[in-house]
Amino acid sequence: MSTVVRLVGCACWLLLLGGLMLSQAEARELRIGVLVFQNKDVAAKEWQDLNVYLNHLRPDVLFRILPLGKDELKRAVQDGQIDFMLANPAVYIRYQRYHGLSSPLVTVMHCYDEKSLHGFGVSIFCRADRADIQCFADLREKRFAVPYHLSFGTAIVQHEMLLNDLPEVRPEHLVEVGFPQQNTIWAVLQGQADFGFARAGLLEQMAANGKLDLDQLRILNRQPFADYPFLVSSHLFPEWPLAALRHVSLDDQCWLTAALLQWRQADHCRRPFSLHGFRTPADYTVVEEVMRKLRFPPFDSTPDVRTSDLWTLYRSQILVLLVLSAAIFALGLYLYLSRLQLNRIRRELQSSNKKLEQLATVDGLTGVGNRRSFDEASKRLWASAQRNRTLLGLLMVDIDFFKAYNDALGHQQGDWCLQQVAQLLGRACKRPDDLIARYGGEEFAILLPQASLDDCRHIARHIQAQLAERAIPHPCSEVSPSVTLSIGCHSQLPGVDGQLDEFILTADRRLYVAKNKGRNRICWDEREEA
Amino acid sequence: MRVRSVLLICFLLIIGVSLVAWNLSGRTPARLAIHPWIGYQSLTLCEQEGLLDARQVRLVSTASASESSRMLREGLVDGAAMTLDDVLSLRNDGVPLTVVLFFDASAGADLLLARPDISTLAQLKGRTIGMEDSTLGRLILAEALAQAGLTAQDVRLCYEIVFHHDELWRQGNVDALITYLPVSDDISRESHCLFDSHQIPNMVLDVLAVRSDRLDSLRPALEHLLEQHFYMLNRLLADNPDTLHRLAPLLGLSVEQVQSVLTKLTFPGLEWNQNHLNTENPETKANLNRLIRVMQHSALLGQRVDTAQLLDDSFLPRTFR
Repeated sequence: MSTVVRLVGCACWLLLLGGLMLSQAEARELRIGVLVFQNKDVAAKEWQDLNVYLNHLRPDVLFRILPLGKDELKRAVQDGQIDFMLANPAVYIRYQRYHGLSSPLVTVMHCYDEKSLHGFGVSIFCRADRADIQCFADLREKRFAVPYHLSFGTAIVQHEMLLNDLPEVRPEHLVEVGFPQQNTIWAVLQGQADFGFARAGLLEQMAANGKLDLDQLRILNRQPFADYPFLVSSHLFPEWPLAALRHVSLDDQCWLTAALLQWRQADHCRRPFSLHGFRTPADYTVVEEVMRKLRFPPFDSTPDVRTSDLWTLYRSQILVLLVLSAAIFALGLYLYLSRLQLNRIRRELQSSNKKLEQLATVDGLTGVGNRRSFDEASKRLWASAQRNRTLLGLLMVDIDFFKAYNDALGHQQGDWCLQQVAQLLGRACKRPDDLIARYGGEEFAILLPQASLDDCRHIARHIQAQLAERAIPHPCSEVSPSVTLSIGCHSQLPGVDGQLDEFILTADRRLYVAKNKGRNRICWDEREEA
Repeated sequence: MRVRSVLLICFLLIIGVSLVAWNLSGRTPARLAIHPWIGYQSLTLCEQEGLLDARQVRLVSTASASESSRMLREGLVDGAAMTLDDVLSLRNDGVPLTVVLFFDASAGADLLLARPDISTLAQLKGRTIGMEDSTLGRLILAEALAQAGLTAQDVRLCYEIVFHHDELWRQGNVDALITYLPVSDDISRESHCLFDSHQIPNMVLDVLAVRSDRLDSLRPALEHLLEQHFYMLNRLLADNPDTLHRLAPLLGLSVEQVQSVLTKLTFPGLEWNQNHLNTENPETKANLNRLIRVMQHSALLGQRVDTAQLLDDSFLPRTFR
């Protein structure tokens, strides 16, 4: 009998044990990932009471609160290894964008000295012995110790700098020291960076534990919060939200929300930022605004800006810019038009100068060079012949009995005669460098570079022949019925000490010889006659 | 001649730009009186946060509503934050004022407290009621007595400014008190509320009133001010912890007290202002007539009340950021 009873008893135990094991095996697990920056064991201890409370409240579900570092939390959310996430607002907003988390279900509440804390901020500090950093404005161009350049605390400090009209800290001035946040304090104290930050309350906590002497640090940009128990240097932001991952059922979300809202920590909040409980979700718009302003991920792409936005924001600047642009355009146009006008005037001036030059060097009646052009050309050609050691020829030409011609036929006819002779001379001297000039009255001079006396004589004969052929009637000539010329020829190789005046005088003298010997002849030597 | 024309145009352009710059920078800022009341602190917060352009707006801190009224009367300020009934009183005295913004409406912040032995409004008959000698006090009194079927002759009144209400209560000179939040711990411990402004919604309104004769010259400043007010209001309504912590020292209260008072106020948003900031709106018209009747009954207003140019919604932002 007793054996039977024992067997039945054993069977019952086995059934009970099996049942228990079965129920344990079927128990679902819900994991809450909590972002931690400090020692995980300490964090696990802090969340232990809540973990026990949740498991007690709902035995069919195994709740596990997992303290996770920054990278661990990221992986856990990416791979769906957790069901709920509790992290700072910036991480929540980032992951909500990237991984589609739920809206905030609840917001965590902290307390200190039996008093609820509303929001959190950061303390910004430098070493107390830094004489060059007395106020917030002195942080310009200083090295900034941060645990991680994209941490929310970094964003909070950068935001404060913008509000104080300071530029954002440049990337090369960021000194990344990693978590926990205490590292920033050591970095500043050891001179690796000029200033740093810590969550408000951390300095007081370390001081209370004897790990830090607060007199070593100077708190900058202190806020006028009479009702906040810690030194704060920044605006305050809503506490951390808890959100569900996409795969979590609505029932589980609702149940956990209700359970958390009813839970209060039994602890008496003696430590700064003791976990106190949860409240209905806070409004995180202000956090999003800060992240957008600083272009922190996920708002690091260029925002969609409309033209109307630019107009609304920068109306006065745009107006000033437009007016200045219009002024610059008007001045530019004025300069362009002035330049066109100047070019036109320059062309006209050049043309006028050319005419003036022509008027100054050309004889108005005959169109050949005047006395001035002869003087200039003779000097130039004389110098050239001197330099090149070449011959220079000169013909002095005079119209015979021209006064009588004028008296008999009138000045009009006399002018015409002069023009005819000049044309004839021009045709006879074809080389570009030959120069024909009206030397005075009815006298012409012809400069012939590189012409020997023979060449001069030849040209003179050619001129006389041409004139004879032309046969301009001359009723008063004593030597011919038509107009004739007396010509003095001279050619010389100008020596180093040769004189131009002497050269011209020689040709002139020969002309007079030609005239004295009866006119209508060529003289190339005072002693001879052609 | 052409050069001269171009130089003249350039000269005129420079003059134009200088005039615009002068217009933007050299304008005298609008001076607005603000006394410590939670409903008006959005403007003080805007100033603290650097949202107000000091070249356009300057806030003048006053100790009380009566000091703000005095400065308006003497023309020392261009406008002031005050209650709507104060605006009507000042207009009645010949100060030209126009309301450009509804700040907040009391929804329980103004109340009638009584000692524990008085459990109904009717029991106030023959009792002494302490109150501030203000239109607001008279309004609450009139509405409370009307609800109980009593008249002003049925009660004794003891006038004292709100800062002395605590002392008045402790001395036991009054059986009931018409006051506003926050009340001291002593009073709240030994009293209970018989009537509050929650029962007369949108009657007790705090407004920004500006001298009507200066409205045109102050237009850019007022538009700028109202835009910033609505931006800050958004933060206030979001229970932003930073805003609460900044409000607390301004009012000499704790954050919890600020939160508590905020639940007894409604803050009309932009849309509500756009709808109600004109005398044609039926609700505004009805509330205004009711307020005027109470004030006339208390001989605070004459028989003829001109409401022309009393409300102006043209300074409200057209777009809300």
